Amino acid sequence: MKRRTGLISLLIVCMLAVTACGSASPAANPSSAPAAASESPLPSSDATMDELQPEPGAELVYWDKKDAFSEYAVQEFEKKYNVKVTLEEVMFWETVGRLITDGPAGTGADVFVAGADQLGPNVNSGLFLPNDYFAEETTNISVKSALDAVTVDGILYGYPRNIESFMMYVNKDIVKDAKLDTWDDLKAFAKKYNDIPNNKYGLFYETNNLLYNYSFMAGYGAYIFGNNGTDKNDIGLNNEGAVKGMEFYRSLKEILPVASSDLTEDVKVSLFEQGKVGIILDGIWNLGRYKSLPFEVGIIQMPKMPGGVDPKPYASVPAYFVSSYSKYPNASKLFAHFMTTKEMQLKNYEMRGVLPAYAGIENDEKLESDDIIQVFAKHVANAEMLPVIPEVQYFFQNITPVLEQIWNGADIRSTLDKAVADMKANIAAAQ
Amino acid sequence: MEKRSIIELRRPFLSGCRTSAVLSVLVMGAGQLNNRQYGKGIALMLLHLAGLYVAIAKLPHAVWALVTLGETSARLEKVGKVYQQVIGDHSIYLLVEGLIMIFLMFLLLAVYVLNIRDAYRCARLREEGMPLHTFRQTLHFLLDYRFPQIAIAIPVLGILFFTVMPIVFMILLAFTDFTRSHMPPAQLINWHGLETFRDIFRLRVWSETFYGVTLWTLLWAVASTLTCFAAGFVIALAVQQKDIRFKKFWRTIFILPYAIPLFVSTLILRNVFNGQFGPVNDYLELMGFGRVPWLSDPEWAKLTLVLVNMLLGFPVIMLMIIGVLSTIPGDMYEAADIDGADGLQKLRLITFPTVMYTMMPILIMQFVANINNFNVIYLLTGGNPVNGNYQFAGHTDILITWLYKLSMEQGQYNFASVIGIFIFVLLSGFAVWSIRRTKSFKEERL
Repeated sequence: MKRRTGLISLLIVCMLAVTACGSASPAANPSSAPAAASESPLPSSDATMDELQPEPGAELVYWDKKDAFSEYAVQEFEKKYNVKVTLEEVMFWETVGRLITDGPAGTGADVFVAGADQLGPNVNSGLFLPNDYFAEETTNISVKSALDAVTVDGILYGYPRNIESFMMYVNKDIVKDAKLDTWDDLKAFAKKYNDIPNNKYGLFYETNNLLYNYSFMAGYGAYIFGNNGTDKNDIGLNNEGAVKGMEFYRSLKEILPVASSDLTEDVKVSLFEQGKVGIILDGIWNLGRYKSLPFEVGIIQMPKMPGGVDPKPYASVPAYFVSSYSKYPNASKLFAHFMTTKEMQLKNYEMRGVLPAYAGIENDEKLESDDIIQVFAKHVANAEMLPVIPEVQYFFQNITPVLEQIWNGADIRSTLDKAVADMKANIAAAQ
Repeated sequence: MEKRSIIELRRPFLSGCRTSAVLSVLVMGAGQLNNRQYGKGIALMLLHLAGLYVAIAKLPHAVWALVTLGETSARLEKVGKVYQQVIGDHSIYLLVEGLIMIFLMFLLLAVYVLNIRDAYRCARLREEGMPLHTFRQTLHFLLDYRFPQIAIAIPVLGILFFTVMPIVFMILLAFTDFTRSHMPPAQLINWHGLETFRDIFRLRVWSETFYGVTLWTLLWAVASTLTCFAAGFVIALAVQQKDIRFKKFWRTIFILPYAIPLFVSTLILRNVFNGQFGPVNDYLELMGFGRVPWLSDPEWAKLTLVLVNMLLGFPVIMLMIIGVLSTIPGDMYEAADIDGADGLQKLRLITFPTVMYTMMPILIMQFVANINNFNVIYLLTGGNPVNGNYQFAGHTDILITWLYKLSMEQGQYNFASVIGIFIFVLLSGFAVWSIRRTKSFKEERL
């Protein structure tokens, strides 16, 4: 009996403890949040007609890389609008993933940077607040393709910051003045330079990465989704162009005779830094790293493929987004807009060396003298942006394995056909 | 007369232990009050009121939340020039909220049942003339004699709400359509029953991956456990030989791989085994052998994994076996020597059985752990080389890495939780079944 009494009192204690925990749990938030969200903006909506004012007492959390530029920008913004901004280091490829869990819990960012390719798959779940108030201004200054990359179903979501893609880096000590106008020239150069037992290569890059290799397919006319990347039922990844592109891709094996899973990024970077590789493909974001090498690193445009066709790389746009969980949407929008004004984009270029996303950069005097940016701008001019419809995730899932199979000698036509069939099945299953 | 009145006073207003129990069924604590245990009775009654309040105010919402997973989804509304997010029901939070409520209700139910039992027993004790504890006495009794239970209740509650509840939550996800293309807050999650289970077994792409990955997982667990054990055993025997000199030195050398964090050594080994640029193949080539596709050929990649796991895992086994070897009395070997046994016989009849007696449960734990050996696989091959016939998995993916890819990379949360349930069943089945069969579990002597 005594034991029972003990247990009962014990459970009472526990119950109290648990109920105390329960009421404080995040579960209580969703019920209280809507009230706050739906009431507070309404009175201010009259004010927004004239000029967007930050909410009184607004404090923003901002996710980006913690470096000189973001700290400078935060300072400038705080000075101008008198709104406190806390910068937290979350890299742009992980912001959306964190917001999915942190947003509803109330600990997420108000403004964050994300690749535009993250927008499509996640816009369905309502994480992003559209770029409404500043839509006109953003549209006026930005490059068309960058705008398309942050627009879903006709609604503009992002504030494009810069344009990113990969580049062809050359080690000038090795390449010297070799002719590199076409891929045949490049192959000739590589064949002359290759010294495989000593791990010296004319060209080196990851052959199992779609980022680089989709360029060849797209150059010959393959496309991910038809109708400017909006028709999920029209997949152009097994058409004639795709097959031709993959044939060309496999022809690179004669100058890079290595199993594709051995061609890793680690190896690429270390061989290039040791001065053993003439040409690599790598992201523009690694430019700073390569500039400080003991030999001179240059940048060239991708050569023409057989038939005089330019490869068509895809590019992405890191952009600012406002979280739909933000308690201070107005201040957040002001901040996102402030970060993407022409001045700030130029500042970003100066401090980080990235290509701004506003139109008319070719004629900008500050950028004109920068050879690298000029070459890169031409490269991007050939580029296409990734489609923004959510189904674009299936492109990566299903086509990435194809590369390794084809590199290892699989039949191109049937491998592509199967991958596209799988992709269609996945899209259908997700409905 | 006086004595009688005390007994009179002690007797409940309504006599009979059944009555007290029935009173407690009606209202928690009423039976205790009837037994004249006022403090306890009032505490329980307060709890009853609190429970009643929660049951009326919160339970319907929780049941609604669990059944529907929300009815209005969040949406954007344009007010003037600006969009506003109108926040709706967040299915995942509703699910968690509902689960917490249900768990609380079960706790309350447990208290309720105990309360009836307590009322009944106390009443019966009174009828037998035993004095009952006063409230103060009960509290003292609790602190003095039931302290361990109180202390253990906290971790138990922790386990209930931080381990059991998430598992139930995960299991429930398998019956929903929660995927990245179907995610709150803008979309509601729906129950869709056994559809995901059916898909895994019926759709060819899924079932092929599922069977293939499961088979490799089991093969991998067996192979990696056995190789680690064999290597550890052989090296322990070698190091412990009588004629071996510098024993400490050898032991230190062999424990070194264990001293480096597994994470680091695996990432290094990934480059060491690179088919084109790794030093292993360079040496092989120098010695006149061809290059081996360590990580790029599916079969070789699997072999490499087992090999690397053996390299990383044998030191622990070796140390354990050295420990076991030192417990074998030397006179057993001397007796064997006198009987004319050779080395192999001694190994087979003395050393091996003794080692196995201690090592069997450890081996089984290792086997179970290897089924879930995420690190080595994910860091060394990442599941590659790719397999065009698999759904989001490569040739060397085991169930747990496939689960990781499904949830973290592909956002197929419902499929991932089906795999999670399967791993759970597999592991618990193996663990319980095989540990119960070992001799040391039965506490039998050799």
